[in-house]
Amino acid sequence: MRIDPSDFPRLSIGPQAGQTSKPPTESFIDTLKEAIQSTNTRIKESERMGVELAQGRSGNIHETMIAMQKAGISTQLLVAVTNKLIEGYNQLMQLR
Amino acid sequence: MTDLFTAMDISASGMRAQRTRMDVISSNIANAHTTRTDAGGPYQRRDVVFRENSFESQLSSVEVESIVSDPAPGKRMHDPSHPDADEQGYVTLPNVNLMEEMVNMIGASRAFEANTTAVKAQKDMAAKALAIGR
Repeated sequence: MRIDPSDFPRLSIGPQAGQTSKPPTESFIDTLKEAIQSTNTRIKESERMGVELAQGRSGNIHETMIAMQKAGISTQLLVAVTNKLIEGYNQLMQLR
Repeated sequence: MTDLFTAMDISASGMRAQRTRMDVISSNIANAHTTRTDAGGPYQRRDVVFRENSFESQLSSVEVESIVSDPAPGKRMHDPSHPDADEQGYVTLPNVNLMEEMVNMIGASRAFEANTTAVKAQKDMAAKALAIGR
């Protein structure tokens, strides 16, 4: 069996051959804002479903529980990302 | 686009489908001795038909396509005093077999449980992924 070296990905930093570096279309802040928006929507949704379940207007126990889990996981993810962001900022501030 | 919560939505659809199946089984059990229906004649047992609902090229959730009635004939019992007895004194009972319904009920609750287990696993995976950053 012949092994062709071009079968293996090259380890390099930066754009690879044949790959053009595209300017990022949106900034990190925009992505973060979007994430905050969607997390907020999920929290509101789970709150609405919880209230409806408690008032007896809906009997969707499993969907309510899943909505709550989604809201919880989204929040945890968002908190993890913001914590990392602040950690990075603090590290930059310690550069002296 | 799939994300962290796609699997949860799919499992939710599975749970919804099994709940509908459970509703139908309950209806069969509750009407196991019903001899009068709107359509006339004894109650006919019903069954759910599931259908895949593809929303991504290779992924599909499940939905209840229809609830069909079982055309099998019901058991005939000799009871001339029954108001629904025919000229020979026989009453046609629903074609519901309680044992069969019980087995279907176990199936539905186990399938529901399988879906909840899948949700739990997805939640644990998300938590594990978040733990990378800690």
